This record gives sequence, C-alpha cells and structure tokens, in this order.
Amino acid sequence: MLARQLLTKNKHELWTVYGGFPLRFSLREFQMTTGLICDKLPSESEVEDHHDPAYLSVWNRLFGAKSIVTVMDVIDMLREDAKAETRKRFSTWKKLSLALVVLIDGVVVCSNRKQHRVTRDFVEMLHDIEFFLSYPWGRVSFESTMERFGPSAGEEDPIGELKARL
Amino acid sequence: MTKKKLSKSKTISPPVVMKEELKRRNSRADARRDTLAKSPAIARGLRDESPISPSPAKTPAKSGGLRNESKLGDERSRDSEFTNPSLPCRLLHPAEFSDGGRLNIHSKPEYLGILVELLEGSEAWDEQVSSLCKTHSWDACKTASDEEQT
Repeated sequence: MLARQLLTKNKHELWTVYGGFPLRFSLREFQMTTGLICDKLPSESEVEDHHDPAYLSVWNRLFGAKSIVTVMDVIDMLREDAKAETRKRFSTWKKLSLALVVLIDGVVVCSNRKQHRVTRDFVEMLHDIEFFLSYPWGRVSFESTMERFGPSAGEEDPIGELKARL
Repeated sequence: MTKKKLSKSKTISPPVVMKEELKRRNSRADARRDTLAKSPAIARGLRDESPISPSPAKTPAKSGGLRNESKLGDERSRDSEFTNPSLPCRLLHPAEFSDGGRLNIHSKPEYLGILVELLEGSEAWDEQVSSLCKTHSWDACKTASDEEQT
C-alpha cells in the first residue's frame, strides 16, 4: 500500500491506488483499526492542569537524574523489581507508571528519530494516571505513523528520501 | 413531468457531447498540474516527478476496471491498464517497486508479552486492566455477573 501511494498535499491522509481506484487511510480508518482514543488533543495548559508543582517531577521520581532513558531500560527496571525482595519492590503507582511508559513509548507512539527513547512530556502526564489513560493516544500515534508513511518536511529532497525509505 | 417543465429543463442543460466534455476536463487537469509543477517548493521536492495534487476525489477507474486481472500478465502491464488520469501521480512507478520489502516498523508489540509476564497477578496489573476497562468499556472486561444482570 505504501509503495502504491499517490502524491497529495494532505499531510493527514494517505491515498493509495489499487485497480485504478483511490483508497484513503486517515484518522478515521486508523481509529477503526486500532480502537484507540482519537479525540482532539488537549491544549498545553489543560495538560499542565494535571501536573502538581508541589511534587517532584514524575521523571525524577521514576528515573532520578538520568536524562536519557530507553524503553529497554524501563523493562530492565521492571525485571529487576520482579526479582527483588518484597519490601524493596516498587510501589503500585511506580510499577503501573513504568508499564504505561513501555506501552506508550514502545508500542503506541514510536517516532522515527528518537527510537525507543522515553518521552519526558508523556512521563510527566503520569502524575494523574486517569488523565493519562483518557488521553487521545490514538491521535498522537496516528500523527507519528503518518510521519513515517509520507515525505518528511525537514528533508531537502523529501520524495527521494521517502523512496529510499520504502 | 408536464410540458412546461420539460421545456424549462431543456433550456437549462443543453446537450453535452461526452467525448468533448472529457477532453475539456483532461486539458483543465493538465493545466492545473503544470501550474503546480511550476511552484518552487513542489519543484524542489519532486524534481522530475509529476506534481503533488490535492486530495483525490473518489473517481471511478476508466472503462476496463472490472477486467479479468489474471489475463493481464505482469504487474506493470496491469497498472498501465488501470491508469486513471483524474488521479494524482503515484510516488513509485510499478517498475520501481522494490523486491525485498523493507519494514519501517519501530513499534514493538513483543513488549506487551513482556509486560504481561512481569506484571500479571500484581496490584499494578489489576489497576491497569480495570482502568482500561473503565476507559474503553470493552466487552472482554465484562464479568459473569455483569452478563447476568444484562
């Protein structure tokens, strides 16, 4: 389907041709396929409303002073925790947060550039787990997926780069 | 339909010769492509490629769209057979399709299995499953008592 794509101006739609007929792949089709929440993204201020400045940042609480953490690092943390003595194990909140980090950065939203690196902004949203779970991850995932399907805006020769990528 | 209405409709829509109409439409589409190709941003991106077109309409294929594909030989001849001039140009010509398919997939669903192994039975697991059920109201989350109630 990717090889059969048509060149259009639409960034949020992928058109392919099959048997002479154009087929569309857009957010609607993505939502139907994945079942993820694809609602409108909340604004930055709405996201910040769910942070609490009285607490240390969630990143610090989970990873301490580390500035770069990969999904594999998080899985290793969970593996070590499973082997640890009961009294030394992570709290339920920490374990749940680490699992959600793996789910989002390892499976749902994977960018082209920073492969399998944990995203700081996503981690900070874990302060309110209910908010995190109701966040429209489907839309975020769709956007990062379309980045990989179509030509990259930053490239000097976007079409040539896309052809090479395919 | 009354005679009055018939005469009215005749004045509004004069007879159209389909061959001429198709030619006119094609030349208009070509002119639009030419103007798009002259745009510097697109020309830089596409070089010798055809121009980027706006979103394609749901246009049907030319006559022959339902031909028996098995008779058409290789992929190349099949695609040229089904070329629809009203569609934007394609990224790759069928002859350019690579043989060894490359997968640009960065998502790792195997992480899901690892998470199940590490968390199943723990409090974090129960909390995650119950919150996901609350958010999505999945059928799989329904317990036997829920089903009895319904």
